Amino acid sequence: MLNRYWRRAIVFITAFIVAAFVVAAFFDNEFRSRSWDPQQMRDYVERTIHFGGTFYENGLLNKGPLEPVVYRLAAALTSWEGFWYAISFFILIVSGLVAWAASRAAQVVGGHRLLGAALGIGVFFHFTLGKADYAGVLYSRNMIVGLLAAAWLVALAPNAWTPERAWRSSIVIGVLLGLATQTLLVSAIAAVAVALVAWSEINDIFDDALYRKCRRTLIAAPVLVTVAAPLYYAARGRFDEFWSGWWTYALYQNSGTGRSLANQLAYGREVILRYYRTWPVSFVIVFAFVAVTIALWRTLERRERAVHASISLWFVGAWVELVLGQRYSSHYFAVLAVPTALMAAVVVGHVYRLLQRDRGEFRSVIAWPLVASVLTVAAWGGQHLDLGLQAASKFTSVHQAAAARAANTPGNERTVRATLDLVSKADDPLLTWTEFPWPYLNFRRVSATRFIWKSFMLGQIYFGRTGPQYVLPKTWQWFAEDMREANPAAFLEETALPLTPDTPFADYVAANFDIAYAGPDYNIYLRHDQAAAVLRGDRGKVVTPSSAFGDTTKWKVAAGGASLAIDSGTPVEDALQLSSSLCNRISGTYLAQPGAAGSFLSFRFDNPATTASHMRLNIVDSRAMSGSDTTVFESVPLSSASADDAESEVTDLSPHTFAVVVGSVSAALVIDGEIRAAVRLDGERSVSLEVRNGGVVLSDLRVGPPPPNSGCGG
Amino acid sequence: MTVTEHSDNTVAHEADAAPASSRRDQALASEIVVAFTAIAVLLFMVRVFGGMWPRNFKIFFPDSFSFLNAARHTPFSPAFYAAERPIAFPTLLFLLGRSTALTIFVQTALYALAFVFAARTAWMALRHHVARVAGIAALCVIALEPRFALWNSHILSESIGMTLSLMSVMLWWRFSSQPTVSRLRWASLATIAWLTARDSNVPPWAAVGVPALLLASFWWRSVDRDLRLAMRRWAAVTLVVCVGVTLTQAANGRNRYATLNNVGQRVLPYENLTNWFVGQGMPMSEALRERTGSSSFDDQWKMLESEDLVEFRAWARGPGQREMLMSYARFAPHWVRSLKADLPVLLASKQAEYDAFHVAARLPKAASNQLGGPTTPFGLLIWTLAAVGGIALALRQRRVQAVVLSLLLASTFVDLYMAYVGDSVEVQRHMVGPLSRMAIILVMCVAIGVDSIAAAVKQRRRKVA
Repeated sequence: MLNRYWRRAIVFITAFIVAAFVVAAFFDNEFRSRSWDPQQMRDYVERTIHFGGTFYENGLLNKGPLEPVVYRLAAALTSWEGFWYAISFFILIVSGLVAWAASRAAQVVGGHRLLGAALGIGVFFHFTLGKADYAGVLYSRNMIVGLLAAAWLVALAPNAWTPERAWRSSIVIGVLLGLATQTLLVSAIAAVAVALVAWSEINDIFDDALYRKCRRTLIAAPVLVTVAAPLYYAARGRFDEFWSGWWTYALYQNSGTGRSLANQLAYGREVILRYYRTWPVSFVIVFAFVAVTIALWRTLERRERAVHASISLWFVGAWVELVLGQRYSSHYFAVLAVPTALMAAVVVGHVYRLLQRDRGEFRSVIAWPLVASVLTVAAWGGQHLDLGLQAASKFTSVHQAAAARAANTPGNERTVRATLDLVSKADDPLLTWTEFPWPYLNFRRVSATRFIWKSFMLGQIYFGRTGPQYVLPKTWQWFAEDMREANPAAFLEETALPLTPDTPFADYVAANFDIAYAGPDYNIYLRHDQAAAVLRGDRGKVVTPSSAFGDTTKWKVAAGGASLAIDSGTPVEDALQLSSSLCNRISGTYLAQPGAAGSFLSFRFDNPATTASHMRLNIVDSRAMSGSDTTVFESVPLSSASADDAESEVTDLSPHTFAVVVGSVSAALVIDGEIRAAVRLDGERSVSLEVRNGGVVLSDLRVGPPPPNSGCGG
Repeated sequence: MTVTEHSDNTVAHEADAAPASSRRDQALASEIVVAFTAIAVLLFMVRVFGGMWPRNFKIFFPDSFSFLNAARHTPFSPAFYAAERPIAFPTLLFLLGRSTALTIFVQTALYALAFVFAARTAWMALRHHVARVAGIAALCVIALEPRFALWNSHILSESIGMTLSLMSVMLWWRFSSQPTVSRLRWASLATIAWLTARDSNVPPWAAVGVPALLLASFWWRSVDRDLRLAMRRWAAVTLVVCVGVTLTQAANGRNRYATLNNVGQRVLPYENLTNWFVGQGMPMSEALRERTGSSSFDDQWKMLESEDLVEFRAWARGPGQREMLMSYARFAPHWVRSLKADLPVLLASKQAEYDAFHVAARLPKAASNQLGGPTTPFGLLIWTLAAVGGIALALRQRRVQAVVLSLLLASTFVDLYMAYVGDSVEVQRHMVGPLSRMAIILVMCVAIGVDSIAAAVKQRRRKVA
């Protein structure tokens, strides 16, 4: 034995590194977990929170309800900004279970406890900080491997099969396996593989009645849990919605690739060969496991044989799942990684036992977890470890981290969010024509329809065919119901994905919306009433602006008008105070008559508490801009009809009607009946007009009420 | 009193006597504590580094380049030992390949581990849980003080200086709780390492530590002869190290900057001081008089480069340094008044101007009520009184510990004084080491006082029972 100081030093360094893994994984995966499917699932959950009802009424789900339940739990446990921290925590739990399962596998075949810990550390790193696409995310398949690993652990737990606990263990395993198959039916083979270990364990129960009870439970519980979902939704009267997603759409996805079963198998063989050519280490592990299994089979105890058989079947089941799934998305391979990890653990466990029998206990065993943690980083790279530790270092609060990210929001998204905030509030419905899950989350809105992507409505199958035969039967009926319920205030169109004409969706948009903003990346349509309030609005009373310079101002001010001569020479601080509060609509006509320096009108939003920075909506020559004192967020031509030539600096000398529409948290600049710039406010409370270079005439200035849904109350 | 009568190292003895299963449980418990300590160290390091590590720790202090230059000589060259910096930090830089990222990692880890060692020492040296918990909590508060922790992010000797200072102090505490030759050796070695971290560490040890060891070696009759001889030996060795550090730093001429700064900013403004220095041979001139209130770096290094000050610079390079040192004793009342005047600012300093990597923003705010060490003169007074009280309480039952702690306490004030008078430039930075050392020693003194009170209460209860 090593002396206690060395032992403590080794324990210290090991704990230090493993703690670094955990901390880094938690913070790195908070960002990494925002992958495609997780964002889709969050869209569904947020929609469910807003509208109520079942998950299947709020999204097209082709898997069991476990995944949205987990995401709903994350939403319940955290704030909107902290959601992904909860998901990251769940990832730690799932990865911990898988790591523990590998550790247990090594110990079952005779490996030392610390050897198991070493293997567990490696597996944990792989699933949390590894480079694989299934690492650091919480897709349905990650949940399934977590459930299977948990069932595996219960089955192999030292005290799980005592007379007092056996039946409870059977129930727990049955429920876990049932949840796995309920989530994805194709995971049934892997579930059977895990059940095999439990089956072997109950064989040692002497009490025949208890034995039979456990056996019945192991069969019945998974089946009952699997069918519980359809039964539940049938009981709630929502069977159609459930069945359409869980079964019908899953069938579409299967048939939508157009491959026969033979073709699927042939393609699968190709993928398998390609996979092991790319990952020879995996092949070596599988080969070694098979060799060890064959070589030692006769000497293995019953329990060990069950473990070998279970892992073998789990492995085959994983490939069957992948082959029948047909898509081989990189994150699907989590289902294969777990049995492969268990194979590695079992092989290492056997090797240890053989060596240990031969030479006795290893003195260095205390250091193996440390060695494993160092080798793990060396083998799989420390990129995510590094990123995670950096994120942990910078973290001060969930809100601060969200604010730091928000500060980097692209200008086009800022414009959209600011415009949406004038007609709706956070978490209100938004209709979009998109094929991505993130617009809803980026703009903090929920989908107005359960069909969050256009592909559902056009019958576009992921990695498959497109056609009306893949549009669910009640799609347009449900769409109409959703629109009646949501009555969205805005429709967002990505310019790269224009709205497909001649669909009920397009008809609905044409009948209910007016275009309000046409930008380079997004077009924003507002519902008729909202468009009227924002673009035209109640013009209100004539206003007489004042200047911060009082009597010494160079502005010539009159009722409903003001002008600043080009040769006034007044500093920019001689700003025209348009409103001392938010929540109004300041409109009028402006005419730029500048000299060679060009025109520059800046509607400046002031914060009385600070002079550090102001949000701005600018008219600079022939362009409209949103931004702050130091940054231009987005710049577009004054008219959506004119060419977007950013280099053009020709001053527009014709008069334009304008309106600065100011809500409680955002403002937009409307020019000639179109929104041309919008900005979210950051604590500002009043509006001024700052003019550089002079040469501006304002007329017909009026102040009216803001749009009704701009957060201004009343 | 015999030394072993008051040994506090009872844990190991109890462990030896315990049955095997109990020993296993203790081992497991201690490994769990070790694991949690590792997690705490990791979290501390992560917060200190921020998003900067490993690539974004840029060095920009001239002193940092000076340390790197010293390390570039390598310990195999005599120039290394007479370079512009004492050898401890250049040695660390040399061992770590002069890598900024690695050095910051290692010195932060060492800083944290030194506090872990301090907590362990407090656990061993104190007997009652109240004192232990309070002492360890106070040590944690000091470790987390941004004004101290931020120095881990710089390639400067402050971090390693604080670490070695803490190790040295704790090893002396261990020695005082159970004086053995072995513990004396470790304490002396740590002290030597600390002496070679910064040359300003030499005066407190030379003034307090060496005489104390020598006196104890002759007068402390209750300990065996080997220990007394070892004390004599280590007093001599540490004295040699003190002389070595002083001579090498004098030889390389770096101390001339401190002399020039002090003359410009602290001597010339006072006529009587100026006259005394002139009397001791300082060449006075109109050009020098113009430098009143200026350091050697002001006005584009005029004091260092002006043709009119060649003679003055020659004096500062040689006898001027000795005269300056003499003045610290000769004009001690003046310097103490000056220190007293500057003390509020020096104690209150959060070192924010040095926090280039925003460490303070990531660590907990400094403890309120001056729990992390004094930050006002009044706080210093209260802490000092409490520390003296603690020592007085411990004097009866733990005389050796009380004496050693009182010597350490005395040395902190010498340290504070020397750090202040040593150089008029960057005084706040120079005070970091002494202030952290002072905070730790004050905590130790108060903790041992609390421990003594708890022991007395317990004893009385036993008597009553």
